Amino acid sequence: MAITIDAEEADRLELSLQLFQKLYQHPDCQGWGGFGLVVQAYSKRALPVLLWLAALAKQQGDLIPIRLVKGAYWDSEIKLCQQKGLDGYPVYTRKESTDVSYLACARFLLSSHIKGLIWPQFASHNAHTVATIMTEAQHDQFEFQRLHGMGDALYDRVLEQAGVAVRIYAPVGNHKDLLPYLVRRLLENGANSSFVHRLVDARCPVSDLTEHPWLTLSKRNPLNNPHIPLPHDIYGQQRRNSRGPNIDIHCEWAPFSAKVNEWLEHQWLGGPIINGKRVESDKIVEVKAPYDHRHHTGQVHFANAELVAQAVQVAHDGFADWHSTPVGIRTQALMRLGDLLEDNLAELTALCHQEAGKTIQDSIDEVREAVDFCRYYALRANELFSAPLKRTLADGNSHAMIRDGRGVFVCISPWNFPLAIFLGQVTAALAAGNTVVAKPAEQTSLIACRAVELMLEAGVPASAIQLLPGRGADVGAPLTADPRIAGVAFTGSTETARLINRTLAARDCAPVPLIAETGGQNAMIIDSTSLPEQVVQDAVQSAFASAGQRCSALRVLCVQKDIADRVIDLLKGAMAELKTGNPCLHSTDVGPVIDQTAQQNLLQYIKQMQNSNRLLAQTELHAEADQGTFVPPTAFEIDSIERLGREQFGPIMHLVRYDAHDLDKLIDQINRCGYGLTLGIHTRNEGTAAHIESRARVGNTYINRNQVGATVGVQPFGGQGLSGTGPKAGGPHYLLRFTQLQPIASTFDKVEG
Amino acid sequence: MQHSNTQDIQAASIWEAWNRRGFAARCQLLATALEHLPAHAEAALTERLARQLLDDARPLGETLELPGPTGESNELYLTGRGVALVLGTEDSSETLVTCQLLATLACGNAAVLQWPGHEQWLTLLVEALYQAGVPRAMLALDTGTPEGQLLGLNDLRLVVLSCRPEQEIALNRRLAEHEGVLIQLVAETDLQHCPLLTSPDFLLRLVTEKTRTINTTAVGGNATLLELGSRTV
Repeated sequence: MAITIDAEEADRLELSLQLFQKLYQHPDCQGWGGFGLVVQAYSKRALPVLLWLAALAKQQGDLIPIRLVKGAYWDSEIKLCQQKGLDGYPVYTRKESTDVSYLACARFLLSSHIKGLIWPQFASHNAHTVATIMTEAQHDQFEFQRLHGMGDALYDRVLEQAGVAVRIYAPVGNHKDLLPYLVRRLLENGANSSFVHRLVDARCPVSDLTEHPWLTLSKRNPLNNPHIPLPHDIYGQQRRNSRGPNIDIHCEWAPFSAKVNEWLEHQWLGGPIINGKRVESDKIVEVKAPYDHRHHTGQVHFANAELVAQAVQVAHDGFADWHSTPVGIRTQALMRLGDLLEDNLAELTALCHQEAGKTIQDSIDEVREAVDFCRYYALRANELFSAPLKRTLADGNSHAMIRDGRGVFVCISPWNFPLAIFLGQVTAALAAGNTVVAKPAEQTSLIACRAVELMLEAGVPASAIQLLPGRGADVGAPLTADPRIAGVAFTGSTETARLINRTLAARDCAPVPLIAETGGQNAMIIDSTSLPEQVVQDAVQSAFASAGQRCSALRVLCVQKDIADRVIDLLKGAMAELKTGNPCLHSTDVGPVIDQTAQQNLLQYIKQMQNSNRLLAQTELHAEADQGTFVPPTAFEIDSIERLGREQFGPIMHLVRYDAHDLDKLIDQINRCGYGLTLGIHTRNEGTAAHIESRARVGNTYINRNQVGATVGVQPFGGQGLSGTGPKAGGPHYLLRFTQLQPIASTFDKVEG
Repeated sequence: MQHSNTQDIQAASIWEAWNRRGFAARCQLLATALEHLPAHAEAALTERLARQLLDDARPLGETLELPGPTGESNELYLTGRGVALVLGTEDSSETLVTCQLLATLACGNAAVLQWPGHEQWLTLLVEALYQAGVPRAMLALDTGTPEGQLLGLNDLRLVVLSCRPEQEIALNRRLAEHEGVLIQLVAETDLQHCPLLTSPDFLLRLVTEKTRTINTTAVGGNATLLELGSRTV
């Protein structure tokens, strides 16, 4: 019996070729001639792959059966590339291009010099494709393949007229495994471009069906599909999507990795930046890599009360210039900053590894999000500030009003998104015409320092941005107590937000905006119609990516009882496959938590939970884990969502079972937690998804996907209740809260506050 | 006459139903009440400002479709924050209290209303709103609960009032002492020009935003996307 390895996503092509080569060249396979591979014609790499396989066969002398298909993951390939900001697509964007590619591959496979190396297997239900292959073939060393129940009439003719072998295949498995396959088939056949669909469409003339795809394609101008923009252009002309390399493709990964490696031993130096100059203090902190404390990342000077006072004064004095700078000039600097961040991706990735313990993809995503913030807020500011607004005021007259900055904004950012959230807050405040005093999390001060250096290089004036790394008590407290502060943007814990609110309120001046993004106790609800394999993939990604250190991370997976055992089995399997380790390595899925305090608190919680709850699974830590601050990804089953206390900010997932008829009670329990940040829903029932979404008091709901990785301008991010005040970061209303409206010819003593 | 009490206001399921009605339906309902407002000195001003607020509130119900990757739908929409306390002070006017209350309700919040010394007038106002169709459980007139107790209301998300600047500072301090949610204070302190009430940003302070993301390529593929790839032009 022959075995054929199926084809998967384009990102796994190189991996599957390596695997194929290893198995094919194994002594047990030599002399067999029945070990084959599927090749997808929609892939732009299809022909090179066939050449490579032919060379492999020639080297060993064993026939390789190649099943040539058109490809089944086209939609996902397009989406993934857009999400990752890649340079292009690995697949053709027109169906007729794929059809031409299929025929080109077929011509190659049928050519005389390939005979005896590759056994072509043509899997198509397209009569034109079949007819073309039969016409082109000069020998009979190949076969056709058709799905049981499809193309019977077509292949009866093939057998009758040509006597070419036709293999009939059928999926084998139980109902739950086959249903997704069946749905995909139905959708493919239902697409307007499908031959099967067009065949039964009475309005489709026979001449169209029989037209050679090359002829069809040659009529297209342009050859690519203009309705599918390149990943960089998905937001239209005005805003470029941030770029990222594809780390699963060797030709992109190798040069990127080499550049990152150049920075891995670098020692960074950071400290307060006041009026454009980095200053030193007597409080110097050594920075160590969270994944291995033997590695020194650099040094940072922490600010003190005296430097806080200096920074506020500079920012206060700088406001007059900055807010009167035309918005277009302000936002040009932010646009340049976005480009500079992309230019410095390798260094920033290395710094994210070494200071924040971020994995490779997390580090790239971090920089990309920062880039998106720069461009999005710049664009929004241009829209908001360019033209005056007409408004009827209480006097009954229409007044022209303009937006303006409020003064000095304090931006207090967390360590879990040390570049993206840091720059998100700062660029929003600056775009709106405020000057900024930024206080980054003390654990990730070096990243903030590097970001401010790039801001200055991009043209943000020295008096507009001040940086004060340091401890909360030494820097945050005196900053927020200063009466000159006109607003605070904060991301961090609910408790710290409350403290800041009290400090601001204690001042003898009018209340100012406090934009707080705080924690979550985020749930994912899955019902019995969901696809368990997809659920587990998304749940594991949501709970354990970034070692669970995301505000949006999944904390409690709510599973309908009917499928709970199946989901738990899959979850155990998936967690056994997770790899903790050095985040600079491609093989690492889960990096360290940020520091020893976080690690000890999480380990203590796990220990406490083990006493009274069922441990479902725990990922084994790698050999050198004790050199850093690692916490094993862990899942517990609990009997009620109400058992959850405060948020555990790490790789810990809880699972509860619920009865289908108690769905509303479950939603009530989630709402009663008081937090309201993210919610995941997995169901194939649209009505159920809509019902849960409308009832849940959360900021961001994600349906049939993971619940992390909100994209700027696409999924504005922020919660309600204990999870934050709003407005949502990366959304159309965010900048407004950083502004005030002024009548152009002011007759009022005070404006909107 | 029977008014709702603060306990009724905290019934989450009723608030959900009110919130789900949508901005346009609530504004339509509240607009009918404008013709039956109790008499007061600046009734014409009240009606003009209230109509402007309701006009501003209607478009807030539109769901905003956001650009994103092919194969995913992303939407942003607004809802009420929850329970709001609408307070009048010795410096408030009927115009300000009425407009702030209407704005709060239009944005999908439940409201507890208190204005010491003006209970009789408020009773008429509340009755006009009930008559217009505001559910009784969405609007409670409170006449005797101490302010401190009201500020401790379970699920309180918002305090809307008109007052002097020093009162705003003092109330903000009291709210900051609260242990739960950061309660939003929306205070009009320029009682002559009402710049906050007439600002286009005012209503955004009374709502919260929700984002809804649907992976439309899930479970077997996306026919729309396949079709997009096969367009002939």
